[in-house]
Amino acid sequence: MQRQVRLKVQRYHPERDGRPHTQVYQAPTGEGMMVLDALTFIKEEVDPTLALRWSCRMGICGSCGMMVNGRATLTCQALLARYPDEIEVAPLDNFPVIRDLVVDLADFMEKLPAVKAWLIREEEKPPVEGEYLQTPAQREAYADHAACINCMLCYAACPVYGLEPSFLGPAAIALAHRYNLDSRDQGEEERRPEVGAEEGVWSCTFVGECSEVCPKGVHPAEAIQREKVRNAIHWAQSTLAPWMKR
Amino acid sequence: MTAIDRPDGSRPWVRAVPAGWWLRNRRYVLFVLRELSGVFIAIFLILYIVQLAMLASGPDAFAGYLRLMSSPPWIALHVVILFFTVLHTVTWIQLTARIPSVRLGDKKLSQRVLSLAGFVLWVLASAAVVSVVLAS
Repeated sequence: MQRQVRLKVQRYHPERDGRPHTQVYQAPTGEGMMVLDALTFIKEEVDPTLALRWSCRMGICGSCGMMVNGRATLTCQALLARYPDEIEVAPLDNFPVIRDLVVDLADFMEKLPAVKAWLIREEEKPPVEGEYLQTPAQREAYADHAACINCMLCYAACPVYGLEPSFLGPAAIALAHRYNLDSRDQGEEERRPEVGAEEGVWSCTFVGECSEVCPKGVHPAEAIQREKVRNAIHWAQSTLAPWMKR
Repeated sequence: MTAIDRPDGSRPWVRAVPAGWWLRNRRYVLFVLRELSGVFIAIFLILYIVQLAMLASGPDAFAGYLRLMSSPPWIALHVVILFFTVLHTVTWIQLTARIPSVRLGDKKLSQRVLSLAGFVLWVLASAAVVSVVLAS
């Protein structure tokens, strides 16, 4: 007989509900089925009013992050076979809930451009002069931090962000660090006002959970601590030996 | 925790972080215990400063301080301080080993190797302090 799972899903309808409530659904499981598959089964076969975000189903788009049994999880990568028969699904922690499992990411969308996570050149060369070249070793320097898919699991797992929403947060700093390490980039000073601020790296208390939940191995916690070192060296140098330009 | 009426007509549910958030998993618990360890290490440092002041006040004052510290409640406090100091050191070495990106030739050193190096340095430094104390 096919195994069934009980999904205890947090529901919230902004026009009807004063507060969220839990609704219990049954869903069949099968080989290779993920938590997201069970949720889309519910939406398609049982209750079309259930609201959730998803797109690629293969851990690339970063849309389907939710709290599964209390842990920030990319549901398209969460194999049902690894879970007990009863699974609690809730929207990502630390974000306002728009409806059911859909959260409001506006705060991150404002923070991401603030760290200028793109290549910055002091002087752009015209396209006809070709690309900015890079050796495999130079690429390797930032490769660990380059795979971020903006899934927001790290923000949901970060108690500092939950307690102090002004914190720039793990993904934004990891992306800034990725570009600071890029041999083609010259924009570290432009990012420093955001990254090196009190609400930037210095708010991080190194809980480390952001790296634990990251589905892409981006290591945001490590990136933040490395940015602390870079900013501390910059501060020491600019204070003690201001004539020395990095 | 409340629903917020926004000017755009949306009404999102905003949740506060519950006071017991740190009990959700082992890593959160270890983090909070490591932060808490700072209180006990501060108590030890205050006691150390008092000890130095007693030493400077003369043999009678220092002997009185040592007698007080030999009583069971003070010994129990020092056991708790030792526990938190070891906990802080172990978890800190494990955590900080994740930060540096160290390469030997083409190979990147793993977190395990770096934390092992941290523990070896800790043992060597402690052994050096003990040898200085025993030699004096």
